[in-house]
Amino acid sequence: MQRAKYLLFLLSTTSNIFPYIFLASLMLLVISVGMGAYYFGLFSPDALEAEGIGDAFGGGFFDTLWWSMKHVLDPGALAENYGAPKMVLVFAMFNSLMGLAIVSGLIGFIVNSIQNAVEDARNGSATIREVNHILLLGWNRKAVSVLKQLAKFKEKERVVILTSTNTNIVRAEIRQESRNLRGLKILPLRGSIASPSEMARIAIRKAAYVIVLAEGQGLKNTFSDVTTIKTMMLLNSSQNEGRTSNIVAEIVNTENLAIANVASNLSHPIVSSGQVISKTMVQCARYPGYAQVYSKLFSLEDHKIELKNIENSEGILFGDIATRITNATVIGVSWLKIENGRERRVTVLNPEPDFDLAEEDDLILIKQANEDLEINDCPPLERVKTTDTPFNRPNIRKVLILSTNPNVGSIIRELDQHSTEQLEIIVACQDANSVCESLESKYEEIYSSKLKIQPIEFYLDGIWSLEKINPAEFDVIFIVADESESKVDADSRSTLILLLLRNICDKTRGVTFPPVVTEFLDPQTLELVEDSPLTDAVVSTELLSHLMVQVVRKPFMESIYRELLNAGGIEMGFRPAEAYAELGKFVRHLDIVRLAQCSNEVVLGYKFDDGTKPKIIINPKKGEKYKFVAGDKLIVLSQQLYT
Amino acid sequence: MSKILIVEDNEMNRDMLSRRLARKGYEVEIAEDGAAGLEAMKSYRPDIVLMDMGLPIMDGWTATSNAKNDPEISQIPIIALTAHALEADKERAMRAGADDFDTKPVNLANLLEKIEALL
Repeated sequence: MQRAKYLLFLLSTTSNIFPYIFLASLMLLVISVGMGAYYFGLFSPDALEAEGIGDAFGGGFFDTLWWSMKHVLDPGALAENYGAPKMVLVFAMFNSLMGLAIVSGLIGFIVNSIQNAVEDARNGSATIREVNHILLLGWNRKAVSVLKQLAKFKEKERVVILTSTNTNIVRAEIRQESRNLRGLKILPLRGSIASPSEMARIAIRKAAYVIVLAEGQGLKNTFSDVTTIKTMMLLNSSQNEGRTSNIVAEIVNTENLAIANVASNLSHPIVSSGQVISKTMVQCARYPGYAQVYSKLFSLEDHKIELKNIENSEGILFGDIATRITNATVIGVSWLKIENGRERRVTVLNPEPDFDLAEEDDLILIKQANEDLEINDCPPLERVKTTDTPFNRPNIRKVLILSTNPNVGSIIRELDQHSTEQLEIIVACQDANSVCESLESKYEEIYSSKLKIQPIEFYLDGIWSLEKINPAEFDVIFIVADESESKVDADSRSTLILLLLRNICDKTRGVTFPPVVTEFLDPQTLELVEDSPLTDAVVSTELLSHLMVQVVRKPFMESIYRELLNAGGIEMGFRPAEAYAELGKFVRHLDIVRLAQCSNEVVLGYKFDDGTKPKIIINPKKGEKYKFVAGDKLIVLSQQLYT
Repeated sequence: MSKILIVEDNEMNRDMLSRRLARKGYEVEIAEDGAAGLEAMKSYRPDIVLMDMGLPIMDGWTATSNAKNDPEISQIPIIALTAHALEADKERAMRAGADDFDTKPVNLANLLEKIEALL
């Protein structure tokens, strides 16, 4: 009996057709039992008078089988036996009742199977038959933003999403943004992004682009870099076997970046989200207004950054070609280099104006999406030798960090790298002492005599601690997205702190308020903080999705992003317009470009500041004329100098 | 063909300078930090070293000082390159033993003059 039960359990759990075989067997058994009515007067004269009993085939086996089967499949046939012998009625009743049970069971199984098939399709157990599709592996709060970026290309892309997150949640989030995702065909599938069989299911080898997001990033910071690293190993091995796709992956914890690079064999760019956010925040602190320029420059709306080979460029100087191209901004040079047996694309931003091009060099350009390059023959530039720079370089000495999150250590490290003298940092948050102790133990190497960190206990409901602080003492105030509290979400918390700062700002009128750089997770929060002392908002989800989508489509962009954010090397900064042009008079953009070249700078555009909302212009045409007022700035690429 | 060792941590600066010097006919070798630079000085035996000062692991000042105190490589001329443009930074580099000093961004013509003067 036990064995029979086990066999039943085994068959029912391992075989899809077992329920049908079981029901068919049961039906045969019941029909066989029902045929026993033959021996109890099924074809007696009394019985044959009943409407439902007939002997058309001579009252033998086939008539008996037909009668029994009819009662199993059609319980309504019972009533047609009226007048038949009692035992025949008993058999008819038995067959009808068993028939009811069997047919309802059969209907149940069929409905269940259809439901399972529909559910499977919804959960995405289908095998993908796409070519040149985009794969989004993993799901977190950046995913919708990534999809929005992809939709901007208006190329009717097919996006396959594979994630362990419930696809109903994924669908609901996509539905909320459906207006911004027009043109994309999105197929969410449920599965592990670190499983080889799942990779085959989503046609990984036929994908054009693969974007790997950290799985599981939610309110509790439950993201998993380990999954991303395993996925990169899988992707790397699959790429070795077949055609190559452009791949970019996200690592949340900067400490895992090195191992992720090993896993990908340095073949694909890995973006450390913590590092990007902290570096951008520090750049915003160094150049207030930077976030707006950065998002304008790297958004896909007005223009694009691309590589372009110019014919007969051998020996042409970078500075000359940069002024001769009238409708694009030349920001750098790129070429292919063989290094350790592998081909590497070298990208150099803002080379010196006398950098001589080779025939095979590509120019890195910012240009309008659908415009052909216009190159004229303007005379070569007469370069003026400059020995010194007249601008005050940003130098941050005292910083207030409000709230805490895992990126605070990276922000401090980044500030330290830019700092040339004593750097004092106040960390104001809940349990500030333990936060600072943990930072000290984790980032031991950055704690030097040059760096001093002080904790201040700060609660949202204890604003007195903030009021004790004199904001004028600081060079910058950071508010980081703190997801540690379940009662208040990170953006609400940052918004409340900005309100507190506005209150302090109102009370201390006449005192210069330092730049306030805040990290937000949701771009919609920006509308709530318009009337606050906020200088720069880094919307981390948008920033990272911009970056990842750009890098996966154009891998050379990774080195541009990296260079612009890193300490040292080339940076994007602001210069006062009055240093290049007479205020109140029209000046041609070309003339400003030429003047800037004398200081080894590339002019990306202008930031016009009339005291309200700054207006950013990127990639102006060389012939356009501008009239500047005090406060207007040039946006330039230049060598970072520490003076 | 003169051999130049560039010790520089910034990839773009490294790529740009090595490419420009290679096109001028120099043989160029790269090291990414001060410690690697010292090793490369011993193994590669360059005719001249272009040493960035703000380097990871071992900074350029220490690497320059160590090189000048090592009889095996002390005779190799070192030009300090830095984005730290203060006079004090120049003095510090020269005190460490650098034979010359140049600030970024590099003016290639000036740098070539300094290289040729030291070769």
